[in-house]
Amino acid sequence: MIDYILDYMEEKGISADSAEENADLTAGIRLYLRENGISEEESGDYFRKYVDRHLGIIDAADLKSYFLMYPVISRVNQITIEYKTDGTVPSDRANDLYRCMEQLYLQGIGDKYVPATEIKEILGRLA
Amino acid sequence: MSEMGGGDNDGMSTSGGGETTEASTGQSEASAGGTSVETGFDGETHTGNAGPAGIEVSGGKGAEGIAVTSSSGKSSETAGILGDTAETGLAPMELAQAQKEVEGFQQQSIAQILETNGKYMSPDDQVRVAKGIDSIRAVEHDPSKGRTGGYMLYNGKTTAEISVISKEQMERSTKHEMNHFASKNREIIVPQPDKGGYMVYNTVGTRQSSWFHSVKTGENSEYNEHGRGMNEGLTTLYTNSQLMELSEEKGKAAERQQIYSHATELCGQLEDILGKDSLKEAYYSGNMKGMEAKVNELAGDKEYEHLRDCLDRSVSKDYAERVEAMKEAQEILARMSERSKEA
Repeated sequence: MIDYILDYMEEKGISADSAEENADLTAGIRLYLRENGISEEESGDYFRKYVDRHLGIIDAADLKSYFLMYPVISRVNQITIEYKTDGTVPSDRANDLYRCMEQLYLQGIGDKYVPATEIKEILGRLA
Repeated sequence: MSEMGGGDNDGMSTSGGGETTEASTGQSEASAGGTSVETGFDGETHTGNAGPAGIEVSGGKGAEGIAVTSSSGKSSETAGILGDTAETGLAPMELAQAQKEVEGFQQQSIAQILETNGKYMSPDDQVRVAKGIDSIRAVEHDPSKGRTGGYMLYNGKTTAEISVISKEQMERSTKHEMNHFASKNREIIVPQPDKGGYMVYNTVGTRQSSWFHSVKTGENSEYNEHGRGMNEGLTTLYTNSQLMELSEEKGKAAERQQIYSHATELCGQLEDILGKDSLKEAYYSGNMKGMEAKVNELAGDKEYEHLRDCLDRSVSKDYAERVEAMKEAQEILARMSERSKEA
């Protein structure tokens, strides 16, 4: 399934610029698959459809940044879920979120693929 | 046993952003009458007090990034990291304007839901939905609650609160809460005089909860809930679809910024396998048996309960629990998908 996603990106004209970047991309895809309960070896129709649904919400121009940053996106999502559940976020977690968002903005995708409202609520408390 | 009618009683569903959500455990605050509020999925917060009321929270997503230079020593070159914190202390005029906007979103949402999904509702429910919710209020956002909207039905009265954050967020949250309102709402009270109280059985969409309310102490206990993950997933799926009908931009923004995207994506797969009608009949008309039978037929005996449990865990704040739930859910749905092709 990793190759399936990489092939999709290639069809969109997106590819890694170096071996190191390719390794980072693959790591991001691997984490996405794991979090979504999909084996890397899986290639069945059902799973392709699931992945297609997700790929469809990502702008082609953002595909590389999205998967390079997927570990960061995952961390952001976890913090916002904790916040949604408890209504509170410890300061160290809020600081971690701030650093994550810095990375996402520097990568050019900002809060496009993460829960923007909740992030503002959490980080607003730091201001 | 008396049916109070209406909705989802104490359950407030809050919706958040994306995965707006309902999550939790359902707790509630109960007021004397046994009201409960739970927050839910999509952002669900659960305040757990005494009781049960299930609230589903849908998360809102959305506000645009606002650039702020923090005064806490965090300066940023990256505009937009810190959020707009100006949501507190709204002037009365701002709240009044927000109230008008929320009421407009409510009317638009109800018209849209009835046009597309009215056929799945009973005649009585069509009338109930067409009349609109009993109370909808734009409220100053309280970050400590961790939610951007809430829906509650208690004693046959339906109430929604929408946090004033941004216009986009209010539209999304209102639409989410209106789907909870339009879904099957049922409240059944079973007196238990020997115990000094009564049991409340509450259904909102596919979420079913129950609790005991003590008339003596006013407290709720014995809270039980299931189906919240599926309920939030379907609510978010339908909300996003309705936003997409309004504009691709609104629909995509909602899809991208969900907190509980896993439940929504699983529900999307379930819809592909069973068809839209099966899920909408469960959600809007309360025909859970039909959906359950179809899932068991394709996945195996009692697998519906297993899938429902996976969806509940897919909105957990526990990362490992969520990942495991996703794996189990994907196995069930993949099996169903294969068997549906053979049939």
